[in-house]
Amino acid sequence: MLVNILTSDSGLLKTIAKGSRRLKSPLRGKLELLNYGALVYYPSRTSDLHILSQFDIINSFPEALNTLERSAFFHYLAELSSLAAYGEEGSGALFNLLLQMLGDAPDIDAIIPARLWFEIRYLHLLGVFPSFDRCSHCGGPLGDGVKFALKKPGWICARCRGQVSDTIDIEPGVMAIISYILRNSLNQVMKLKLSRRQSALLDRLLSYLVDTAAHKKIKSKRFLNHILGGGI
Amino acid sequence: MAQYPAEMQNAMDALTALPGIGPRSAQRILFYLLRNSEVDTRRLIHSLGELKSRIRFCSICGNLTTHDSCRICRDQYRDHGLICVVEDPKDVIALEAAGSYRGVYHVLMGKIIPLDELGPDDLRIKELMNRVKDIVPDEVIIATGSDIDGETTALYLARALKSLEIKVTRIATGIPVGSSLDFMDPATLARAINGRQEY
Repeated sequence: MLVNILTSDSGLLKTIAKGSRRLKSPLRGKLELLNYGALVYYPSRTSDLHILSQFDIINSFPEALNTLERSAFFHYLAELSSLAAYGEEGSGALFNLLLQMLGDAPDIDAIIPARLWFEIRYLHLLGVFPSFDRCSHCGGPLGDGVKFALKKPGWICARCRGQVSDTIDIEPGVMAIISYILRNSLNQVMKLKLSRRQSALLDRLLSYLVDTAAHKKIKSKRFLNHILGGGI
Repeated sequence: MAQYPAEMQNAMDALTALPGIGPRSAQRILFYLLRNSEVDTRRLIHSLGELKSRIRFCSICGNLTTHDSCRICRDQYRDHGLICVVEDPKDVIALEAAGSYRGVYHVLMGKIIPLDELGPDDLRIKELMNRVKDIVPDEVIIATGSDIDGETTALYLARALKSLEIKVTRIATGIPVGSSLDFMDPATLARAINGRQEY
């Protein structure tokens, strides 16, 4: 079985777990999605596919997958994390971000703010979250009447709004919410109550930025949207 | 790469398209077939042809059959008020081999795999819901696998079926018969403890 493992110091490890489906294999049942553990592997000299020899579970976070909403949410976070971890570059911050979220699995009504908290930090880690204090067009202060430019992602001040096409209107409350999410802990953000309109706008904005940053279709999003959108 | 006659290369290409068969295995199978008697090879070709032309999916449960409905769905002595939901026809064969189940089945033809963009609409969930609405069974047993995708599918089905006010149960997971506790991983042990039964 081929297993991709997100590590704190070696990026995304691609491994082969030989015989892991066999009944008597010591790896059987341990290589499930989002299992957190300690591993032993033999690095390959000729390819980037290493041999996994041991995996001991530290925490399998059963509560992270015990409802449909959480399951869909953590599938999405797992896919986002695997897309952002390149080769064997260090990925400690991303690893810790995912680990923190797994440790504080949100309740159903806190999934939307928890997702925003993760996505904003994720974009920050990738260095693609647009600078929040200056207009990306003129470099001046943002002030009121801010828009968000989609083509060349960035915040646009009221003075430049006529000069940039393909933009989304950002109401002042939404800027305050992003600022709050950036400054506060996950537990505080999970208590946020957002209006339907604010949720929809932030979802559109962050989805656009995440899709652009991922450079790839995020497959688990379809299921997440189906579940959170009340498709059942 | 070895240069084979075109007929042989075509056969190799067809074999390597099968799961678990690489070029070396394909080559070994082909040389075996060439050495084998023509009668045996013709029998293999005939049986594969029959397989494709005669085997179809049961219109009721999705199991494999040569008729419109499968042997199990046609059996009047089985409990049609008990539906066991499984991922694929192989699971029906495994459960039948166990010999302890006398109800009928519903084959989903897969499981929800969000990371492969396989969602509820890609499975025979709509057919299950219609069937349950029609016959109102006493119980639906969810027998999808105990891996993450199997559990996700089970959670989805449980919620969908509960809305129809049907008794929904999940097969037990835990320690395999004949195993000892010290070989078990923590997740299996935790499930075994949580799913314990009173004597």
